[in-house]
Amino acid sequence: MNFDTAGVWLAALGTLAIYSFLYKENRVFRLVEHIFTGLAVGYTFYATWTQVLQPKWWNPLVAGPGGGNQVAFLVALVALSLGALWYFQFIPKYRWLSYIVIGVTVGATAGTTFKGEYNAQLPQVMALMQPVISRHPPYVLWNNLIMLFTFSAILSYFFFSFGEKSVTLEKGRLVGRYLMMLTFGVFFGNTVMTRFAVMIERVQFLLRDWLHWIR
Amino acid sequence: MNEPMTFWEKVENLDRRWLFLATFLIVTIPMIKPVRLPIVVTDETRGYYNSLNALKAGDVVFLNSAWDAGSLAENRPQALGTYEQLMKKGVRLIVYSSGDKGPQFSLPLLRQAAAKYGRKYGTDWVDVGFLPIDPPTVQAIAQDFHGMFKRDYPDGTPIEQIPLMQSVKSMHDVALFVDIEYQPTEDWIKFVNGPPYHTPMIFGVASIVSTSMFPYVATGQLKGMLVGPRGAAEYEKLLVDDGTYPNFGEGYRTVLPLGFAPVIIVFFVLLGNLAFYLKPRRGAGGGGGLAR
Repeated sequence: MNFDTAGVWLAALGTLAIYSFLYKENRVFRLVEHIFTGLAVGYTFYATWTQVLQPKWWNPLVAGPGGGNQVAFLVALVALSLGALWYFQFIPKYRWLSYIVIGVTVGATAGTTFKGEYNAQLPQVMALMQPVISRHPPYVLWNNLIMLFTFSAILSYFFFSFGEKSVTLEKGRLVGRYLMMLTFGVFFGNTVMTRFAVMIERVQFLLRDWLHWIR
Repeated sequence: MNEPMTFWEKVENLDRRWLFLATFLIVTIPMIKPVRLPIVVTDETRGYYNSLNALKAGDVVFLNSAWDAGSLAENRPQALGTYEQLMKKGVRLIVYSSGDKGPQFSLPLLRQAAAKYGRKYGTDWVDVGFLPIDPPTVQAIAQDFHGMFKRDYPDGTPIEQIPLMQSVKSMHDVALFVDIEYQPTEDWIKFVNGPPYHTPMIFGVASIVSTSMFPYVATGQLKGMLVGPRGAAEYEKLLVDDGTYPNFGEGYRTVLPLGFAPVIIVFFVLLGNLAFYLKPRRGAGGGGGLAR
């Protein structure tokens, strides 16, 4: 048995062990589940250290200011200092030190999010603000009307502050709720398809690569 | 004394393991006895293909190939076609992964595609490996490739020594951004498709996340998108038509059983609802659906 064949057998037995849960809870499933989890976490730790932390932070830090790249050393030193401040949360007397890095993080995140949302959502809003009636083919007009109707109905669902007695708004909310449920149905349908795809890939692996029943 | 269960009560209390068995059978039969299904290419798939097809030799493409074992079924067929089309076009390709396991899965396939079209590592394509992302990191990558990627993934060669990277510094130099993974972060759209780079962008995603990505396709922020195995099968049809692929590939083989799978779900949903309404009502609160 060569290395590739052993790999296929290991993967096949692992797959069967995981799927054995569908019959009933059992120790083999639990064992393999823990092995998989351990492997995944261990690999993530290894990849993060060897490909990210070591080359970008650890190496410049231990090389010191005389290591040839003073900027990299200073950046690594600042990262270490700011990162270390988080741990003062565990020392009540010096907890205020952690607030410095929390403030920096919150400020940076808020600023980045604002810019990001502006970049991503403004084109969405602009796309909505198009002439409904245009020289495009009739189906575009139809699509525009559906879009406008859906937008208005769903927006009306989120008007909480006024218009409780408005029949129009009330019906708009009802339609908006149904349209959202329709969307959730689409989400769920796609979820089912993804889960099936994962299962099909595993069944194909078992039948093709392991048992050689299909090509 | 307990009354015997009626047929509809038995149906409602059916052991769910029968459902698992039925599901297994309905997806397995088309694998053993394949049938031909028509593949209709959707606009989002055509947009994906056209974006790649419009590239000229020498254009720089930035590819985030972050799929792994969890999304093999959905992303691998998408990736296979994309790698091949990119290598065939003769673009200069920078491969990166925002997932830690991505490089292990993509590198062997990229090498195969590169060998097929005679593309040379270091000059025509480079793999810069894994770097986890958050919004500031996405912006930093877009701004300065050399600052963020120190060494390549296969050999650990310093980035500045790789010929391809000597003329490519930031997202300003990139003609197309491609992301193939289970769930691409919208940060790419925000900070790479958005100002100041305005880099055209296409995604290959899992079916489950496509719903939230479609608004970006509608506005043109995404030039195209492959939706799970269905998108991959459509993409394979276009690749067969242009001669890149001799036959349909993994996407089509997955989409065949996938076409049958929803049938069993709909059948059991209908059956379950019928059983709920048709079973006899036994005493207060224990009866059929309408009584509750």
